[in-house]
Amino acid sequence: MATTACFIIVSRNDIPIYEAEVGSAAKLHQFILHAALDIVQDIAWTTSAMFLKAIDRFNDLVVSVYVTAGHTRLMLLHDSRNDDGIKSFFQEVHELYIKVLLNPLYLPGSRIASSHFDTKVRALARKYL
Amino acid sequence: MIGVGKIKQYSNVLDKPLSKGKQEVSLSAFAFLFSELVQYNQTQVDNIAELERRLEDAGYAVGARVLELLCHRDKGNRRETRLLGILSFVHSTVWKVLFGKVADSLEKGTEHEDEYMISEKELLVNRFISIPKDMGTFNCGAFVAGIVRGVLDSAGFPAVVTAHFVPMEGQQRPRTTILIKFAEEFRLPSYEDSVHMTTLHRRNALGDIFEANNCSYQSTTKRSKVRLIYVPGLITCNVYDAQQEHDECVNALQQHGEGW
Repeated sequence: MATTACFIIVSRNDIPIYEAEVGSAAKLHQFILHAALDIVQDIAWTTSAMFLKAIDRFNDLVVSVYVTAGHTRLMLLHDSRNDDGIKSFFQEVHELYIKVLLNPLYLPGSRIASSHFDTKVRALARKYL
Repeated sequence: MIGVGKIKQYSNVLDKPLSKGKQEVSLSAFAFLFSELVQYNQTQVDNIAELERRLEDAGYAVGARVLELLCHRDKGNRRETRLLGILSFVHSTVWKVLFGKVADSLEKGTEHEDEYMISEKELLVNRFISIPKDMGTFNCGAFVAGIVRGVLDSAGFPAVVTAHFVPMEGQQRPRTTILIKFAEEFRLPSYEDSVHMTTLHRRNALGDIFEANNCSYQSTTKRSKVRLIYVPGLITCNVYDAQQEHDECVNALQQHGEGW
């Protein structure tokens, strides 16, 4: 089960607001995700779908991205090929993100510090990845 | 007891499901709340421009959230990538959810290419507000202008949005117009080109470093032209700033020398 995966949420201003790692953590993961941001920005304007499938590869790791309406990017670096599971994972995290965003005291673009959010994301990761 | 249902209690708001959006709020409750918002802001500022700005900022926060919520709930997770698409989204979906009806009209400005106007006979927020003579052209519709600006800005279409009273002949109360003026980049021949130009710098910054140090520079995906090479000793930082990363890359490479 313990596949390698790195999940980050990047806000519209290119600031990461949430990070989570499953399996072995490496600085390399964040580097790859950051470099993939350019590609995401190009592709995001060509399609109106939210789930952009695998957009970049590095060795055997694949970067998949889900862009929300407010241009918040949910980016996942993983080594599995489970497209449907990843899509469901993104959709569930998207709902969680909307619930966090609806909080009037949450400043959009700031770090998500809620530990409950963290617990739920990790539970979803175990379930779908 | 028979027939009594128990509402499920959730310990945390993240566990509660998102509402379906069928609830209604009493108009008088909203009118009281909004009038209190305006009165509170009046005590905090010295001039009208500042008051308008504060109402706009309050609306901006609403707009950013409304966009995400409605795209998820009503549009089945489809984003808007075209200007007319987002304008008609604001004009119909957003107005319908917030005010119970679509806006009266959406027009394109004749004098300037990038101006659009949403008109309404009487904004819901202005229904129970009267402006004293000494406040001149102040319009509490600045709150609604802020909502529109929040929606457009979050969707990636930066604009300046203002609310104006437009007197109509034959009618006692003036019509309200929300004027949307989009930012500079929309005047370029192709919006996609301008977005492309501003984002290339990040990839090029890394590409230049690799080329300058005689590393291979090759395409692996259909779209990108840069292959990432893991530079041993490169420190990644959590501040996603292209210039800073450029400098850090250069430093790391200089430290590492020519060994690789």
